[in-house]
Amino acid sequence: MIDFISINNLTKSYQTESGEVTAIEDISFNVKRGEFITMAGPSGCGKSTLLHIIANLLEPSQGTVNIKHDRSEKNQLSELGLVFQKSILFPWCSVIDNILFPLELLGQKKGGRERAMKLIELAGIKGFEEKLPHELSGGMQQRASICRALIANPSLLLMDEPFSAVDALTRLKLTTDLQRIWEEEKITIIFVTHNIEEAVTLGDRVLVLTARPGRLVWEEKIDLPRPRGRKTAAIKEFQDHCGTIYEKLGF
Amino acid sequence: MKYIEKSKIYSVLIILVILIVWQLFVKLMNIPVYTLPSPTDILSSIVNQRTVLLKHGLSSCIAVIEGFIVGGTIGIVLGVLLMYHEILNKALMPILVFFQTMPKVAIAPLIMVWFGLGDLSKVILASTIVFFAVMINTMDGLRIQPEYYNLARVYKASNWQIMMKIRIWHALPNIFTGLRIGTTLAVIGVTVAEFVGANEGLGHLMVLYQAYLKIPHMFASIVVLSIFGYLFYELLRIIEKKLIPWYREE
Repeated sequence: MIDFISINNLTKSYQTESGEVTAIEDISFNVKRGEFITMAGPSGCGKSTLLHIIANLLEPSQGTVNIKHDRSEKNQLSELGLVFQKSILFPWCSVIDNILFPLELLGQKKGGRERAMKLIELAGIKGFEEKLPHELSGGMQQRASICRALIANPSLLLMDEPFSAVDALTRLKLTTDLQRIWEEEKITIIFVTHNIEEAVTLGDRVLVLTARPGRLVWEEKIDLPRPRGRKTAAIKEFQDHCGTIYEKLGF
Repeated sequence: MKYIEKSKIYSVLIILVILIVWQLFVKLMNIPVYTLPSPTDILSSIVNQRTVLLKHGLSSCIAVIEGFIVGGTIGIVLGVLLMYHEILNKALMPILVFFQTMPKVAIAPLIMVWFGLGDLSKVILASTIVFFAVMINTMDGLRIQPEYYNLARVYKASNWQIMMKIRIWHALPNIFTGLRIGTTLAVIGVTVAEFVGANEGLGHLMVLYQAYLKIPHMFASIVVLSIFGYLFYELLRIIEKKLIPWYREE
């Protein structure tokens, strides 16, 4: 069977004033449809670069990305959705208009409201849809930006350290809720983080990357039961998974 | 709200103190009225000359508003155009900067020669000063963070869509900063034009008063002009608050 996403020998190098810098080197992996993939590694391991290449926002120097999109799927308007480290909602429009923004770009804003309201409820920010972003807490802003990423029914959601700017308790809650959203929406997620525990909590598989150049050194399969939350962290297998990953990163 | 009201009371108090000190200083030191008139002298001038001040004041106001609108519009349009079109930007920017570094006071007489002593010259001089401030601020505001680009590009947005749906909105606070600076620049532009040569306007009136050494009347003209400039600035601030409520609260 051909996998949903196959990434083959990706290399990306940049020309800088001090010579050539390789951000990622010879990275290959496959992703099945509906899988929750987390990528963990220290800063400078090229996680963001990799995500940008998968999102087709950046050209790789070598290698290919193949995504088998199924256009017939649930009136999909966009193949992928993107969530950034910061929520980057537009300060000038309401939460719901922010969420509908992708549809506005695609000329499909009409009829999107119902879908938006469903996502708003799923993400737990009901009642805040007419507020301006600055009236929301950081965690709620990030929930809104997840709704925005999902509005066009993508089959793939790319998340670039989305919870790194919120406090620990909010992060815990977002972690739980993201798993619920993932199950409900039946999407594939590639989630980048520098937090090993977060990667193990969320992922079906954790891809471990080392820095300079970014290389894929290990793949940790996580079989822990879902939903995973605070209590999962107390399970011995969880700690073993984390331990293995830390070891692979040289700690 | 309390805080704002308190600050307004302080402003009024400070102005009152300055006026009283000024009044006492002039009267006690017996300073001749042709050197420095007292606030009451100026006030009586304003009352005496009200019809003349109103007529010329109105002429100046109209020129200021026209110059502001023309300059502001050119500034915004040019700013958007230059940020949309990189080659145009690279080609035009040095020319615009060069033109802007030319002292406008120095070219004022030329503008009078070319466009006459009427409204047109005032508007042209004012708008040449206003447009640059608005343009530079507009261009600054149109620069957006890369995440906004990436977000738009995921949905295959065109550059024009990015401009109209993201960058312009993002630039609104900066555009208003430019416009607020523009109000004071428009007043300066029109006054300079009227000094150099015009047959109407407060600047023109001041030149006449100066010739007859009517110093209190000159002060009266300045006061009227300043009050108008202040009100114009405040009007812009109120419009800004209404139009972009998200900005101040952020």
